[in-house]
Amino acid sequence: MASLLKHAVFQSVRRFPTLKGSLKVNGIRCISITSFKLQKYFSEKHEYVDVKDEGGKKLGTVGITDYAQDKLGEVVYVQLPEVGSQLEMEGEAGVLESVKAASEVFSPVSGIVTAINPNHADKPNLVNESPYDKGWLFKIKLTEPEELTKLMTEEAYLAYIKTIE
Amino acid sequence: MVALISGRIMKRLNWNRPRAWMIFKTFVRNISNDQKLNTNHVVLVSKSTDIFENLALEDWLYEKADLEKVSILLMWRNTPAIVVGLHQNPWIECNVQEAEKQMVPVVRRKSGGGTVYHDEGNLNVSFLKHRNLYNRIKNLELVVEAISSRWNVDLSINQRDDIILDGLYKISGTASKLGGKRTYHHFTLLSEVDTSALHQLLHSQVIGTESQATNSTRAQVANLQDIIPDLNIGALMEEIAQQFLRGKGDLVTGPEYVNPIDEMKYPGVTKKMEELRSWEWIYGRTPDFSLQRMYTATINDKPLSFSLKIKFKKGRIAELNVSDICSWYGNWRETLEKGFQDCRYCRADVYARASSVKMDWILADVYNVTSSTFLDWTLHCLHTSLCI
Repeated sequence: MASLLKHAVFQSVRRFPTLKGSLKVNGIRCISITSFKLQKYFSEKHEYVDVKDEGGKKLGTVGITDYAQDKLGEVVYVQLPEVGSQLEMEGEAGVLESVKAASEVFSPVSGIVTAINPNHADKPNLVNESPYDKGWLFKIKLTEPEELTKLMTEEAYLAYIKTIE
Repeated sequence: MVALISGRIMKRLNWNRPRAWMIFKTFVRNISNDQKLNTNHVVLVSKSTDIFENLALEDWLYEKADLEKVSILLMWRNTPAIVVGLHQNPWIECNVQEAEKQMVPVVRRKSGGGTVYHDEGNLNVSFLKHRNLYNRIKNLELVVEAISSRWNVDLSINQRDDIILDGLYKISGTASKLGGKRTYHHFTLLSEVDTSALHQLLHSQVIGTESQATNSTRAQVANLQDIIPDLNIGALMEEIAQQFLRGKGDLVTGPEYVNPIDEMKYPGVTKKMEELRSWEWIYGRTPDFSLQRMYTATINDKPLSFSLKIKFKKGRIAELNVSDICSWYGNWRETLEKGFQDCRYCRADVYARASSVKMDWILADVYNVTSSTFLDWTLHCLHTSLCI
């Protein structure tokens, strides 16, 4: 029973997304969320888009959240959209396969795909290991930047996943 | 007391504690969700034995049914078919040529997982539910309970979400598909499947491939009828339907026997079926892969070696590279390499391309009395590599 409880505690810690990217200094965990607080937006379907301004155009990097990757389990295959294809907000953008389940990925914003992460062909579990960094899925040139107002900030997203847990 | 009971159950089902805890948590959550959503429960049994028609109906329900209000149990049987997972390579997973010969269709489903063989001795069980109610273990437990309530049989669920008979033999293979709010979890239930056909058809002859596609995990399979001779699929369906509807009060419908391609009831289902039947879906959706082979022979008393490397994209030959050690037959190589560009990996197309390459060789006087044996051999090697 004791070990069961211990495991429950461990589970809830592991599922808290911001801890994933935290640093360990002198054995103490330091949580830093300020670096992407202003530019990351989240959808209810657990995709994020990291938006940068480049020459007046908004360019986004899309991936799935740490919460989502944890729910999926080890990803074994990543199916991505084609470069140049036009995606709509909440439209199908790909499929992630994990433990015999095919999970659809939806684009959090409308736009044109400018690049896909080439590393998933050999290492699909980058989605699990590094969802916010090396495990990004595709880059997109936003065609409807005002859609970002319909997405959640990180704080709002963290509150949102607590309501569905 | 709770810990003692869980411990016993876990031991019986071979679960470890973290997994049992997660399942317990989901179980508790799902009870409350079930009540909160006030979900109607519907059982549909398909009257069709056509795999494409049934998968089209399943896909239609997944997309169009209001799964916030209704949970659906769909069951069907189909005539022999090989069914590969969404991201699999059919040429690696099964014997495509043998399947063609036996007129057994190769099918790509929309869920993940590995390749299975179906025939009318197999029951397909599909649970279509809202994302909040998605729980594969719960569905499998429902089926195990349904069978155990009527027949005396030792069934358990393993870590891979397979149902295991007598602690050893797999009788059910699971796969699922998840969208934003909608999901389905479907699985096979082997009752009286022709296992010799299963073994023969799920054994590929193609060798030398390199692929990132998802692989199947091979397992020893058995039929429920091996243990329960009086079991028949009709009775099995009845038990599972009853178990699904049990305790749901007035919120139940069915079992309803339906025609899956009823356009009045399911508008657009025929189009879905045509998509599932198309070469572009079944073979064209194969993850990119390559094939490399080397052959040696003695022709006209000369030792020869011939190697080829083929890159496939979307089920077509994107690049064919051939090389040999002693090539003194003129410009045959380029014609061969270009001649197969963009050729679909299927018997008819490969044969057509081969004869047109041969015609080009003849017209260019590359194919003649001295070179014919060698050039025919290169085409033979290509056919052998592709197993067609």
